Amino acid sequence: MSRLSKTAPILNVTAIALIGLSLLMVFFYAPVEQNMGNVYRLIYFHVGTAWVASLTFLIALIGGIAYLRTGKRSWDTLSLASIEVGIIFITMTTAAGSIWGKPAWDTWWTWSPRLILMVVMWLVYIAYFILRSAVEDEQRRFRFAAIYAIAAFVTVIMCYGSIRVLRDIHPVVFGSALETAEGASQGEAQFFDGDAERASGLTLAMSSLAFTVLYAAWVVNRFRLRDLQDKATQLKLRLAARMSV
Amino acid sequence: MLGPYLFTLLQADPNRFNGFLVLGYVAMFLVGIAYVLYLANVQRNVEQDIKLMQRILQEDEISAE
Repeated sequence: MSRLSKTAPILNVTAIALIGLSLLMVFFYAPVEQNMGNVYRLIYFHVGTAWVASLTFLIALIGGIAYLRTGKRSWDTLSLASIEVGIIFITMTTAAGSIWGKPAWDTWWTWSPRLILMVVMWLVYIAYFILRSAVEDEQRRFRFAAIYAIAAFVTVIMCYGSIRVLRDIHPVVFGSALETAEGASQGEAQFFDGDAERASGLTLAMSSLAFTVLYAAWVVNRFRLRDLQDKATQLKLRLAARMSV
Repeated sequence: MLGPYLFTLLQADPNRFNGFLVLGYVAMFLVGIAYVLYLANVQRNVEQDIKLMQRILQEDEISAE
């Protein structure tokens, strides 16, 4: 049994367990937020998926650079898997954010800079797959994809940095922002005491950890799938050779 | 005198948006589960293709002998 076949089930089970633990913390440990009540609990998975998505795109960028330097196919697979999982996480982030936005801002969607850039980022990474399917030659495909994965990261920087520079309805919950860029107060957390704030921070950390392990599990499963697809391609070539004899 | 207190109490009902909370988590899980099902489906199809091709190759080798 290959190392991937041994690692994948372990990571799958660990990810499920951590997501389960995270959910328990979200619903039973995290405190009630003063203004929004229990709907604020959506934020723990919203922020968790958003942070890990940015991590996946960063790893895709690293994979792209490493592929261009070494030419090893594993780096291309890492980029591909990372971007695929990143798109899933961004979709989850947007869904949660939109649903949270209805009670917070009384709208499912608004064309604020952060949200526009989120859509742009999502579309740019979707286009990564369109690019891959458009290039027939394998080596050229890997090279173009690597360059694209590096360039596309600009959208991540713009999206995540925008609320600190541009005025936006999306709140700046962590870190600072320029004075002219202060976001809406709706969405900033207010808890009753310091213990509650600590519990909220721990829950967020747990959620981020759970999604990081889930990302790792999905990437390993993607590597396994690539190995299977390679095996199928080799068998097809052998069959074709046999049939032509 | 009780008016503002009652108003605050009513405003502060923490469960007033629980429907959105449930909807949000259901939406996120549906996206995640859809991806897992997609991966499982692709893997199953590839495994079936591999089994079929291995069988054809085996039969071809036997008939060649």
